[in-house]
Amino acid sequence: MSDERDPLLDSLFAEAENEQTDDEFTAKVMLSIEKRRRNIITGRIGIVGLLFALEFLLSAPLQNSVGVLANTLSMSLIPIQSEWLAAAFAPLNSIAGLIGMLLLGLHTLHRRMVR
Amino acid sequence: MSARTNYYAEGPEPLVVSLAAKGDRNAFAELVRRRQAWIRTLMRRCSGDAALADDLSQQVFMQAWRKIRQLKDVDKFGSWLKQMAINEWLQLKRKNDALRDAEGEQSVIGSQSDKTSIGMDLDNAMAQLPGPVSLCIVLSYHERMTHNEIAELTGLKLGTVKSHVLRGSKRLRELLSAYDETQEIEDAS
Repeated sequence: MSDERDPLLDSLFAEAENEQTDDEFTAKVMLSIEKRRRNIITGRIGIVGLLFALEFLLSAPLQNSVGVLANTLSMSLIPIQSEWLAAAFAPLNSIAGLIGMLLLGLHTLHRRMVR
Repeated sequence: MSARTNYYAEGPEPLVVSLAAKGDRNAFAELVRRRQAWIRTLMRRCSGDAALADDLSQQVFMQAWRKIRQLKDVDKFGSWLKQMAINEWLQLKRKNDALRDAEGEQSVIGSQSDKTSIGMDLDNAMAQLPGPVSLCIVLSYHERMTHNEIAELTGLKLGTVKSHVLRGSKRLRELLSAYDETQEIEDAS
């Protein structure tokens, strides 16, 4: 079929009434745009406010938790008297080191099983 | 304010589009004023419902405002807007076609001679066509687009577009057969 059009439908489409420019419609669109802009601004202010509130409420407990976690992870597994030896072996001789080695072991095991 | 409004109203469209893309609301309001009749009529022919057409057109313009900064070629504002309108319509049809198909068909259509009645009859008839078919018909008859252009705009295959236009034209002729008879009588006299 070519791009030919049915003459009757062609004439009906040509004769049918088209919408006219309506200032009310323009005002409605612009109002919706303005409303949306306000909603976005309100949302952003809300998010910033929420972040501040969370920071205010949770900063002290979070800092405490991080401190406790850091202390726990750096705890020596085997007590070493010499200060410099303790520092040198700290990456291995600690809970963090143990967890690290466990994860490394699991990773190696996983790779061998997959291959 | 009125001098400013006149400035927008008299400005060439690419300039107004550029201003709108830089966030000028008055420029965008002018674009809405200039293009609304076209978009609303396009949506009305597609949907067969004036209120729904206005809602869809409003969505299209709001989307246009959100994305106008992404428009690279200001001369192509019209086709960009049309693409947005078509996408909006297709999206709605995807949601609603199942519901509408379940409603069953209505018979309409008288033969009137004034523009308003022809428009209403056409809208009623168009509302009875499946979504993609009515879209292809509107783009072919109302927008005067070729099948190739329709395929490009809608993302449908050329064969599908041709079949939709053929099928839709046939169905519309059946629904608007009263006009056919009127025309025959006019031709005879």
